This record gives sequence, C-alpha cells and structure tokens, in this order.
Amino acid sequence: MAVVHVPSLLQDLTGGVETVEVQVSGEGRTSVRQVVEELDRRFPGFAARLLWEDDLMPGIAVFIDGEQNRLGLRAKIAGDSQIFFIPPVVGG
Amino acid sequence: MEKQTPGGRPYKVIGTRPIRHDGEDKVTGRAQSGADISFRDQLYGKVLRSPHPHARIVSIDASKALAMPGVEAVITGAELPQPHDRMFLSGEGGVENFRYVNDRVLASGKALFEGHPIAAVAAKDIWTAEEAVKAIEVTYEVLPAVTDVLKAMQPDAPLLHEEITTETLGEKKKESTNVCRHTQHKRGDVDQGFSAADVVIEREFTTSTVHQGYIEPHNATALYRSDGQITIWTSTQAPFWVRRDVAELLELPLSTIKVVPLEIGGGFGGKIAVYLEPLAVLLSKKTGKPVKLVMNRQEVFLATGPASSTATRIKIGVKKDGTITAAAAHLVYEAGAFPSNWAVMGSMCVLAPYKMETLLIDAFDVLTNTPKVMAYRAPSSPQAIFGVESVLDEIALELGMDPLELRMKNAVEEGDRRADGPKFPRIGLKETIQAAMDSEHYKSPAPSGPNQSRAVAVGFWFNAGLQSSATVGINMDGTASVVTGSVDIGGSRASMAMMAAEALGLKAEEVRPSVADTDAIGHTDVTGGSRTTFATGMAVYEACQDVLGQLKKRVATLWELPEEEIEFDGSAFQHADNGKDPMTVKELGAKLTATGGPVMGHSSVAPTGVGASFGVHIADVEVDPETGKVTVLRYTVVQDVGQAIHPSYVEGQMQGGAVQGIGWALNEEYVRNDEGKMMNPSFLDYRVPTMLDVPSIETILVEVPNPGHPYGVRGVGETPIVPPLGTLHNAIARAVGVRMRSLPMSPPKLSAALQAKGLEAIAAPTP
Amino acid sequence: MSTKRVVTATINGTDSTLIVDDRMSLLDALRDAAGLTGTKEGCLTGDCGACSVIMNGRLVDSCLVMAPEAEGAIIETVEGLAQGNDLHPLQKRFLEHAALQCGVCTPGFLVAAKDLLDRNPEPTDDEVRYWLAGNLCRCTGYDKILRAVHDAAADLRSSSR
Repeated sequence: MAVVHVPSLLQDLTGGVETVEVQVSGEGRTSVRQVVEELDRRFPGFAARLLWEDDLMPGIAVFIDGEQNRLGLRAKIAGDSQIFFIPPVVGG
Repeated sequence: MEKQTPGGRPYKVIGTRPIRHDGEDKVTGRAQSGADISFRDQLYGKVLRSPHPHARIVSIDASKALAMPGVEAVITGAELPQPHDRMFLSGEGGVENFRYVNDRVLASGKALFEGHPIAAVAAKDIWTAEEAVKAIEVTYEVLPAVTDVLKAMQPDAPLLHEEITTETLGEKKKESTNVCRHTQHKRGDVDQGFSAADVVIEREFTTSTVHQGYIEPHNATALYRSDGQITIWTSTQAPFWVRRDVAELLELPLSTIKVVPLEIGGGFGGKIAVYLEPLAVLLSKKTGKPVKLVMNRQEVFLATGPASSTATRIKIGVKKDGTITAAAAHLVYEAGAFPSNWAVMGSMCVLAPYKMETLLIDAFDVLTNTPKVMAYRAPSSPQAIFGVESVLDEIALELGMDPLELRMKNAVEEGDRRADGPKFPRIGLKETIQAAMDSEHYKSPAPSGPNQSRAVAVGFWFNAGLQSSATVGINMDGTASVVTGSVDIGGSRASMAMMAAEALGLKAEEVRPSVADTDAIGHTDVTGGSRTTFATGMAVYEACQDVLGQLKKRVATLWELPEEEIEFDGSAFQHADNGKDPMTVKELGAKLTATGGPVMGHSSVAPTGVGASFGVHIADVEVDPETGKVTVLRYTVVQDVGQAIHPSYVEGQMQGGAVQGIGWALNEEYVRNDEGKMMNPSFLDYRVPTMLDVPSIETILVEVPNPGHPYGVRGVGETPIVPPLGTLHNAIARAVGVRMRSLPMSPPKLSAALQAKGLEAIAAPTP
Repeated sequence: MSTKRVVTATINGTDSTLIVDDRMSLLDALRDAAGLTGTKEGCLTGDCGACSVIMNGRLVDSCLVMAPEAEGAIIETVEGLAQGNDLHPLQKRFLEHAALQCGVCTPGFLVAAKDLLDRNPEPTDDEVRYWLAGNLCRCTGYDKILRAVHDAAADLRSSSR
C-alpha cells in the first residue's frame, strides 16, 4: 500500500485523517493522477482543491519518498511509496 | 578515510585551492560588469518613481519632458500589454502571476510602494534624462499606506489589491484582504504534545525588513533592432529567467531575445527578478538605439526586493530530558506590494532541524506598501529559525542543559521527517553539532567578563535542484573548455573547471571555464538556491562522461581493440592485458582529427538528490551597557558542506553569509516614517558590517558527502546566513539578561531595553 | 546647461587629456572619458569605497570628486597597479587567498590597501581594519581580505629590503 500524506489544509475533506493508504496496481504502473482520482472518489472535492487546468495547483509539487518528482501527475509510484503534496523549493 | 571519486579513486583536483580562472581580470579591473558596457550611440535611461507608498495615479503628462532637447522617448505603464492574469511556473514549480510582474515593472493605476516605477525616459545623456524625469507631471491621489505586517492584516487596513483574497490550498476566500496566502503544516495532535511536556515556552518575535546590499547597483542595456531581434546586457543571477520575463511581459517569442550576462557584483537572491531590463527594451524599441539604465543606491533600496520583515510566535514543549514533544509556529511575513510565497518558505524551514511527534505551523503572506520581497540567501529561513533557536536557548537554561546537547538530542538525521513531511536523505546535522562541541572555540572557556557571554544556534536550508546545461569540448592538444549557463557570482567557474579536470584526469589549469549567453548554451536556471556547484556541477560531470564515452571509441580505433575492453581509470585509458601504454585525455587531443574529428560532450540535467545543509554557529560577545553596542569577540561557523570542491571559496561563503547574518542581527533595517517612507536609503544610514565591525570569522568544514551527487556536493552558500540571528540574540541575552526578541538589536534599541531593565530592577529588586 | 572642458591629468603614469562635462564626477571621467572601467560605482555618495582611487597621494572616493578638480592631478587607479604582466603583490595575494567572490569591490579594496601599505608597510590588524573600513564588501566577510593585505605587506617589505 502506498501512503498519501494529506496536506493539512485538505484534511477538512478527510475528516482530519492525516494519511491515507492507496492500493497500487502493478509495480510502477500507478500514476499520481490515479492516486488523486482515487482520493477524489473517497473524499469528494479533493481533486478540485489540488488540481488546476489538469495539472497540480501552481505552487504545489509532488514529493515521492523525499524527492520532488517533476513529472507531477504523471509520476509513477511504487507499492510502498510515501506521497506528499507540498510547495517546491527555490532559493536566493 | 581518504575521500574518493565515484570510481573509488582519491581526489586529485577536488579539495585543492587553485587560483580562480577569472581572477586576474577581477584584480586588474578588466572584468566587465553590467555598468561597464557602452555603445557610441547609446541613450541613457532614467526611471520616474512614485514618492508615495500608496497613491492612485490620476494622470501622467510627459509632454514637457518630450519637448526637451535631447529627450528621445518616454514610456509609461500604458506601453506594456494590459495586465491580465497569467500564471507561470517559476523555478521548481514556484508560481507567479504575470499580472503582478507587469504591474511591478511599471505601475498601472496605482503606485503601491515608494519608488514604484511610473514612467521611464531615454535621453542623450544622464543629466538630460534626470531633468526630463522631473519634467513629467503626475497627479496622484494619495491613499493611506500600510507598511507593518500585523497592521496590514487588520480588517480595516488599507487594501493594496481589491481583487486579492486569501488563498489557502485550492481555496480562495471571498473577502478582499492583504493576507494573500495561508499555509499550514500539521503533524499529530499538538495540544496533546504540549500536555506531555514538562517545560513549555512560547514567545513572540519580530524582525525588520533588510536588504541584500550587493555593492553593484542594478543595470541593463538593451538594443531592439528593426528586425525585432533584441539583445540585453545585464548583471543578473538568471539570464534565462530575464529572457523569459521580458518575453512574457512583451509577449514575444524567446527566440527573439538574447541575454548576455556580464560580470555580476553580488546578488544574494536580489538580482533574479527583472526591473530595468523590460524598460531598456521598450525604450530601445521606441528610439532604435541602445539604451542603458543604471540604478543609484537609493533606487536599489527603495525599489528592488528586500527580505521580509516578520512577526512570529514560537511555542516549544520538552520533556525534562530535553526531548521535544511538540512545537507550534505562527509566522507572518511581509510580501511587499505583490503576492509572494515567502511565508510558505518560512513554514518549510522553521522546524526542519528537529525531530518531533507533533507540530503545527501556520504561515501568512501579507501584502504591504513596500517593494515586493524577493529572495535573500536562504530566503525566509533566518527569520523563522531565529525564534526557534531563541526559545530553545531559554529551554536549555531552564533545564540547566548545554545548548548544543539539547540540539543534539533533537537533531534530525537520515530518515527523519521534515516538518513539512518528506524524509531527509543523508544529512550531517549531528556531525555538525558534534564538530561544534569538539571545536577549540566551544571547548575554550567562555568569556566571563562583565556583559560578556557565549551562545550557539543552528541553521538550515534545503538547497534547490532546478535545471542546468553544460558543454565540455576537448581541444586539439587535449586541454578542455567548459561552458555553462550559470553566472559566476562567487568563483563557480573555478569549481566547474575543477570538477571537469577531476573527471577527465586533467589539471585545473588545463580546463578553461566560461559562462555563455542565452544563445550559446542550453537552458540553465538561476545562480541561486545553493544549486550551482551541485546542479551545474552535475551537468559538467555528465558532459565529461559523454566526452569520455566518445574518447573511448577513439582509443579503441587507435588500439584496434574492442571498446568494451578499454577502461578510463581517472587518469588515462587502459587495456588490461595487451601491453599498450595508458593514454591520457591530454595525449588523445592530438589524435582526434585522425580518428574522426572533434569531440564535444554536452549535458542538460534536472537533478534530484539535492542535499540539505545544516550549520551551527558559535559566538562570543560583549555588550557595552552604556551605548548598547555589541562587540563580536569571536565567531565560528561549523557547517556540513558535503564535499568542498574549492575549500577557500566554501570558507568564503560561510564567512560572508555569517557576516550578512551578523548585520541582520545587529544593525540592518529599513527605518520608515509615519507615512511609510524609508528614512535610510543609503549605505551611510543602512549600516552593513564593515571590516571594523566583525572579527575574522573562523570556519570548520564538516564533510558528509551528499549521496545524490557524484562528488558528494551539497550547496553551501545560503545556510550560513541563518544561524547568526539566533546566535547573537542568545549571546546578548546570556550576557546582559535581556531577551530582545526583536531585530535588529541595534545600539539604540538595546540600550533602551537595558535601561528599562535597570529601572525595573530598581523598582522591584530581585535577590 | 552643459559645459565641456578639457582636463589634463596623469593617470597611472600616463599624461591623459580628457574631454569632460562639468557635471561629471572623477568617477564618470575615468570610466566614460578615459575608458577605465575598473573603478566601480557602488553608491555615488562616498559610502562604499568601490570607486576608491589615489589622487595626488591621497585616497579618495572618486564619486565625490568633480572631474574638473582633477586638472593637473596625479591619479592612480586599479588599472595602474600591475607593472605590465607583473601583478602587484596585493593582486597576487588577493587571488591566492580567494579574497574576492563577485569582485566588484575588489578594485576599491586594492587601491585603498595600496595606499595603506604606501604609508604603513607593517600595519597591525586594527590598522588594516581601520583603513579599509571605508570599503564595503558584501561577499567575503573580510577575513580573507585582511590576510591577503598582511601577506602582501610582507612581500613588499621583503622585496624592498
């Protein structure tokens, strides 16, 4: 099971639940998009808050196991992936 | 243990200290900075700026200016395409709305900060341009201004942008407000965490607006040719971003614009955004001549992007043994006149160095009638971590615990979760704290004279990856050239050449590094985010691998042997058992023509594996109780630098960052009057540290290689500005018993606080 | 109204004739009229030292000197430090110590340090810090500059012996 860490400002949709387990079908074939769709089925409104014009909301990046993945919604996850939706890092 | 290359060989070039390749030009005065370029037929530009922090622009009449002899063009906001919402991804998914870039470059409708560009002039010389600017008649309807972040959050505060409402994740509130964004990170039940604690301390802190204070003012020269092709010469950290921003603003294809980055006189995050470039382009378009604009120092302070002032509240709970059970942070960051994400960054840094089961972070970006805040070295981390380090210092005193022990007990390590969620890869915070504990400085007796003390603080910065390109060419004598798109702001040409030399088995001086314009190299993001040595270094390394792959084929041809049987051992190509003499890259150079022609390698990367960076600072201070002046007696910077490519320049980053942080802590601030106008826009009154103000900063390089980079590189540039705020605050508190909790701890503020404490002590003497 | 005039000065040992505008500073004259852009502009108010030059044996911020005042003056700028391809010990030591990062303050520091060593061949730490306190560097934190100046002073002392 992959684990999605629900952004705290979306936890109103999950009834305060911080992490949600997601079934991953076939190693390396499940995408972040499918995960978001699954979450949206379970917690209606989830996708609308996280997506913008068929992509992640500007200012939000997907981190899989500690690394930002630039493929965003197209990124593939593994059966034990930890998935975060957090802002990316810039610098000076 | 001897440090090794990925192939398991000891380093030959990395870790040595060659003379930087571009050094001679910088000490003889031949290096060309942005302001040094000029053309025979160039015009001089000047910007008309709003004297008011907040005003409606009723009318602009430039007719008198245009009638002046020698004035060739005037532009106003009307010349730019009408502002409309256009979101674009900046950097690694950061977001900007071009509506506001547009509005920042030239005001439309309202002046939103003192110094906001209203119009720009091009004339035959600078004096005529200055006179012409004065001749432009602008009618303003002055509006109430708000420059304080907490006041700007109030419901009755003057509104900067009617259309802006608070954006939380995916939701926009309905009411207009100056609070443009709310960010939150949460883990577990923080109330439960605090009730499990034996000691809970909660404090409020403020910091003032500060400026990067680079010595070279902003400049830009542009030529807009009649065929629509544009060249921009400028000092920038991000030539490819200048090209993108100008293209977006003027709605032009990228291919019509070439940006030539000239030598840059400091940036620290402040030379990323465009200010003058679009104006120079528009003025050149109108006149058909090259137009040059250079800011003066006052313009730099008033109208470029400083770092946020902040108001924060930090609460930390610990067990008697020092284990943190919970922490809460409430962060309010000045955004300036346009939406920013600096509180977002602060929220990701504030609790990053420490492990805890429960936490709650709320962060707010707040619009004010001040210039739009831009990046400043580890942007947003210093202000956030300042409060945390101060509270931890109080906790250490309360528990009677060594302050480094307390931090060691809670320090994050590989596998621990960052406050914002993801797990840390291999990091070196514990090693760094240990090195600080073992340092000669920390082991020496703390200064014990009156009003003297010692203290410590920790700092953190993520480092960025982004995108970089490099080419490596092998010359016909086997020496090499390295070309990258990363502007060299502090010696990066040398580190690029050294990494290439290491990879190719050459000497550092046998590699000639250069920085290309936007036509001559693949897309390369900003020199910033502590990413250049890491990410552009990765591109150089990969380009060298490309070269080595091609060279191996040439050796196979020469030796008439299968390519697979030939190895490069870091110095030369070898064949295990045929008795051929090893062949170096140097020797191969002369044989390239005969084996198939020139060899050039290239690479474009968007690397993952960015290594986070931690530092610990130690300061000894003495406070003059009469004047409130703080003397830094001794100062040591300890930092995990991954692998130092050129140790001298790594030390330089640590020393320079620390001194900027010392200035932030002790003196630097935007002083504003009741109308919101800046009272100290000069280096005389905005006091950056001089050589007399700081001791020689000692450095201890801890090297915990970053597994995400072939040479173990971590970015080092930004972290060192983070700890000085807390370090000096804690040292002053321990020296005189007053916790300022407000920066800067300038002599007037500190002496007033000491006086108040003295009066209090007289009123209620304590045993 | 603009008035042009001719200023003759000895710049780095060469007699130079410059056509300047009366409103020009010496900094402008050096950069725009003489083409010596090694002297940098940082503030135009005499607060940063990036435009330091030696005029008639005295260290000045060239942004605070009007160009016509340079008539007949002897002026030394960063471009005059090296003798041909032989760098001045200060230049060599700045490079060896990595006493520059961006390098924009470097010409001013070199000129100010030369003026110090011309007067005081063996300055103490405090004397170096005091003399160079009028020059701002935002990159290095000053330590490497201090070391470079001391080493260059030692070089100059041993070569003059």
